[in-house]
Amino acid sequence: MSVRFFLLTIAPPVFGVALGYLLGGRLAGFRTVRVRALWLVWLAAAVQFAQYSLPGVRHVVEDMAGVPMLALVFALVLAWLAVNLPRWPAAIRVAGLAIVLGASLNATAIAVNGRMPYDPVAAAGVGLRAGIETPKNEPAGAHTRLGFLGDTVPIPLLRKVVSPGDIVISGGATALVVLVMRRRRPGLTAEEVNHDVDAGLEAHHPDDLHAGGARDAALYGGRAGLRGQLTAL
Amino acid sequence: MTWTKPWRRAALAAYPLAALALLLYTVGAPFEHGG
Repeated sequence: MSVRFFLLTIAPPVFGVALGYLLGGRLAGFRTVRVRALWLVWLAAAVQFAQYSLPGVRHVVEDMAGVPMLALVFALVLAWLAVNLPRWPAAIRVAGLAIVLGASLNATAIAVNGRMPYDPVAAAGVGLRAGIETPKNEPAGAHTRLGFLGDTVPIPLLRKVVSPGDIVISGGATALVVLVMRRRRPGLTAEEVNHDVDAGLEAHHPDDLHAGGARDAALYGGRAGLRGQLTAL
Repeated sequence: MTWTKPWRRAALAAYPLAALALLLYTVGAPFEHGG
């Protein structure tokens, strides 16, 4: 992975964090959404890495076993989204579905062409050598089907050509980060969630006694059986 | 609030953010080679 590709992948999450803060969100929002089966994403990334960087593995999987590695990557990611999307809050689910839609657009273009077609003119326009093939990309031509779903949008700043699916995925990823950051823990107000956990609980239940702890050993019971009970004053 | 809190929050958030970047790495299909 090149530095520019790395920048391209971290740009939506980083932009989402910046936008999330601007819209009043906090990173603490990530504690409110449970992410399951993250190993599927790591596995998909490993397969993707092998496809690009380990030609021996690609030969065994694709040529000998007859399994398209790109199909494997997309299947793993879609499986991860299928596990998580139904359990996420509705608004975050919509952002997740945007990622699914973008991935499906890319997958469709790849499925009908074998590789992701890119516009050679757009590639030349951002200074890339047009005409070469990679494990994931090939130049679009007369034989290309659904060419509009291919890499047709030049990004001169990063010297990349991206697809409509990439744009939808990036938008969905940015929205997902913003929406998660703006989530509050149930029962807490916007102000409380930004404060210390203990302070937030106190503010939420002002009539409750404070649970015992090391800080309050002189005043409150520290033993498990006495926790939450006022034992001395 | 202790001084470590913001860093702990950032660390907790970094993992899903990294997963999201990985997701873009896997299902994104930009053309970048040949430059």
